[in-house]
Amino acid sequence: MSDWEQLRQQWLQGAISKGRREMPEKACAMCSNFRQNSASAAGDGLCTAIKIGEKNKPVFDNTDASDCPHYKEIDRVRTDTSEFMWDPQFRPQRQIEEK
Amino acid sequence: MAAVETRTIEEIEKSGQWWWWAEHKRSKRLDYLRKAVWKKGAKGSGYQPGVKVDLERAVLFTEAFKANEHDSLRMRYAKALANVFDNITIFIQDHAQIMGYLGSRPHTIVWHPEILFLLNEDLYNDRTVIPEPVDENLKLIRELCDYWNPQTTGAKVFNLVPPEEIVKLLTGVIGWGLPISRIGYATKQWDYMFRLGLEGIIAEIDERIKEAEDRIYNKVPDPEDLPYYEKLDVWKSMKVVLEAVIRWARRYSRLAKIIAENFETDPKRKEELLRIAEVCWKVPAKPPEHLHESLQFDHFIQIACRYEACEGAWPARPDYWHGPFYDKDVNQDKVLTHEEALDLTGEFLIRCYEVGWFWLMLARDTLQGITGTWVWTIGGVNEDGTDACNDMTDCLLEAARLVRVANPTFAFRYHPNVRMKTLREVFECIRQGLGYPSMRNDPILITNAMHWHKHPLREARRWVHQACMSPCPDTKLGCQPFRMANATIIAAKAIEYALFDGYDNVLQMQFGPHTGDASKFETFEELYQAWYTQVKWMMDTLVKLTNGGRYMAQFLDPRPLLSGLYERCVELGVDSSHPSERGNSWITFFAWMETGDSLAAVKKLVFDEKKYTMAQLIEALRNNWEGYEEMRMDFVRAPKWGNDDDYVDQIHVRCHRDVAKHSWEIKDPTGNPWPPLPENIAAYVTNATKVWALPNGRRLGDTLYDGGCSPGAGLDKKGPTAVLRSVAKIDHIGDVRATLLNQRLSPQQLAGEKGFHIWHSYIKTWAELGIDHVQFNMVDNETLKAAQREPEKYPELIVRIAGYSAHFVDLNKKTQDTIIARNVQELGV
Ligand code: SF4
Repeated sequence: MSDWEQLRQQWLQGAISKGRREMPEKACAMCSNFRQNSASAAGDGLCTAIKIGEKNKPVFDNTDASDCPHYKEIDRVRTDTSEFMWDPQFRPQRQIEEK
Repeated sequence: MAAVETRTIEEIEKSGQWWWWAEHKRSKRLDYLRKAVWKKGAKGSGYQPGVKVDLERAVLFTEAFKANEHDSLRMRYAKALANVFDNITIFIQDHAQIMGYLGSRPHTIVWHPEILFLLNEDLYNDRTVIPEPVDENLKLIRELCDYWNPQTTGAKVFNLVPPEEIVKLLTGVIGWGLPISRIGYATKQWDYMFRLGLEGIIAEIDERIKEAEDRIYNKVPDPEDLPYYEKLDVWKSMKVVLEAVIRWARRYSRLAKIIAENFETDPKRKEELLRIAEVCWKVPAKPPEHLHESLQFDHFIQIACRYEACEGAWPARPDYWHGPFYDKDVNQDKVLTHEEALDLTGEFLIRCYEVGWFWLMLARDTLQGITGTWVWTIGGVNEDGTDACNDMTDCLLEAARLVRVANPTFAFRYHPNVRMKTLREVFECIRQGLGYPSMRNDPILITNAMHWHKHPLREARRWVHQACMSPCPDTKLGCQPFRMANATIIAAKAIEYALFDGYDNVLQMQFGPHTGDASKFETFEELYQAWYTQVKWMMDTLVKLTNGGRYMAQFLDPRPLLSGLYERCVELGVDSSHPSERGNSWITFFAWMETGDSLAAVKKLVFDEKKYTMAQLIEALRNNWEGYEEMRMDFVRAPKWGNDDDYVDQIHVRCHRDVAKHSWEIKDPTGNPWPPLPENIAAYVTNATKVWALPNGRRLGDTLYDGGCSPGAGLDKKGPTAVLRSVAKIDHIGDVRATLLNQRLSPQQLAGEKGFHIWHSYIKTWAELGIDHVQFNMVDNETLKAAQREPEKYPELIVRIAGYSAHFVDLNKKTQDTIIARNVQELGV
């Protein structure tokens, strides 16, 4: 199975998480390298810092980032979570405690 | 709590606060029904407090789907849906006359777990819509997710795409979601349904079944008969679900009768309930004969189809189909007064407004305030070319002003012979700040439908809006079975890619093809060709996937109910997605007009005036203009679209022509081209952070242009006529499928009779210039700013976004700001 094929499986299964997604203290969703996918809203996205070949690695918003050397915390500017998901730093809105 | 109104009607009218006026003017019934609505559109991107997901539909559907695992997928879907119609809780709201509800309670939104695993996970993780008891229901949702996720249509479509391509598709740059028939939307074929009723269609199906069985079982074997095995299954599944729809309607009939005979104490309401019982017994089983019946028939079908699928738009032409019944009941037989017809029509709009389902956050974001782009077509011409406006058109417009819903909205097919009485009603709706009807240039769009999809003239005259913009006939071979809403690109990305050799600065990866290092481009032509290569690649990549999704939908995602409502499908024994209609594809171009403005700025400042080099430009853009403010302002001040300036306008025209040319080279499954349709819904805000800095002076995060051919907000400096002259340089027949023009007008200038004449002469100029669309916001900044400050005082203030309307207070602040930023045009100046 190719890397991409494996990823597809993970993607499908990643969405089939058994528990309700909880945010680790440090998660991809809080990292400025994370881009939430816009064709979904199930917390999947791309990491712009880690590549597979030329393309970005798929990650989830609640992927634990405590060991990630590329983690760069986003600026959380707004506090109104009714704002849209990509603003201002591509910040997915759910499950992140506002600062 | 809303403030208590103490002003007189005259004072309210003068203040422009038309929602108060509507409340005073409408009947008690409409007032009750309008206030009893649970708003299902999202506020920003979250559902309104109190709105909960309805689990009955999901449970009933799953139960029957599991129980019939030896049937074909199509038949399992049919039986699953039939189980929903037979068992979902139904209710009758006080004062209501039109029955049929999507969901088992008024505050619920249904969930279709069979469509998309991503949607299912979104629901499981949602923090507001899970109904009580939350823990128990979460457990149930988890079970349903686990059962459905791997076999959802989305998972199957996911598997059609090479895995590395998925990354591109999910970014939203190419494609907006996945091509799935159950999240597309469908035109309904009313001439077929109203002529036969569902019982008549079932009788036709029975004949086909008999013929198929004769061919298969009673004839000398012939390979030509083999497809009849498949067809037999198609027809039988249609029949299962059509019969269930009749039973569902008759459950309402029985309930109305039970309430009337056992519980209702008010004799007038009792009489009404008995009439409802008769109507629901009759339709949709049999053809309608009265207005109440035709409206009820229509509503039952629309709701039934939304139990089958998430139809995100609502193509309809209600004045054309219900007009004859209005005329018969009100004008000829006088069995209904105008006021009674108005009550029914107002309720018909409210019933549509309250429809909603659980939907992805991405869709909630881009359609803030509403649940789908439900643009109903009114006006226009008949098949013989005569004016189609009738008293039902006027009744719909009057009802819209009274109930003031943000969905459905209307789009008016304007032509030179339109009756003046109706045009005044249209103007009145716009003047009262509804933001609709949008105006469509009928002769242009009829020709456009003939040009792109070869619809014959008489059929082209039957066109209805597919969502906000695209025209398509509601005829046997015209009806579009599903518009693949994913057929969308963020067109401004092609400029970004041309400047960065196909590299995506937002996603930080190679995205488009390599077209060369732009810092070394020596001519404008090199840049233009790089852009053209990028945009063609975006169109091709999108179309490959979308064609695959459309073709495979008949196998992966059949729709037995919708199929059973199409004459074409009943005749051929095929699923609605079988590509045997005439075709009506288009590619929505989000963020399109940045293209010409960007190219023009580079041409002027780099290649003509040589004030900057390409290398300097690339460097400034790479830095998102940070540290280059003076230079950025030069690019902002470069010629811009909307000012009748040929320098920039002709570049726009060239881009349009070249894209249109490429449209003919890429074919949809029916063999027709994929023309562009530039427009934006609210994506001009949500996409702002997906498009990198551009040479029109825009920075990453700045809002994109709001229309399809509208100038950038505040960039049209020379008044409304210059805007029209620029826009008229586009060929609205051959360059685009349609395109969207937003204009803001001054309510003060357009007050009274004089206001109507000013507006009418503007509309005449607009039509003569051959522009296909224009829509207006007529609310002043003072009111909009007051609504931002004190939203509780303006819950009913409606604005036009881009292709749809919404209550202003349901928009996020950034979207609100973009509406305030649009220039207010003084007409006749
Ligand atoms: S850099 Fe690390 S933490 Fe950030 S998105 Fe990528 S994987 Fe997640």
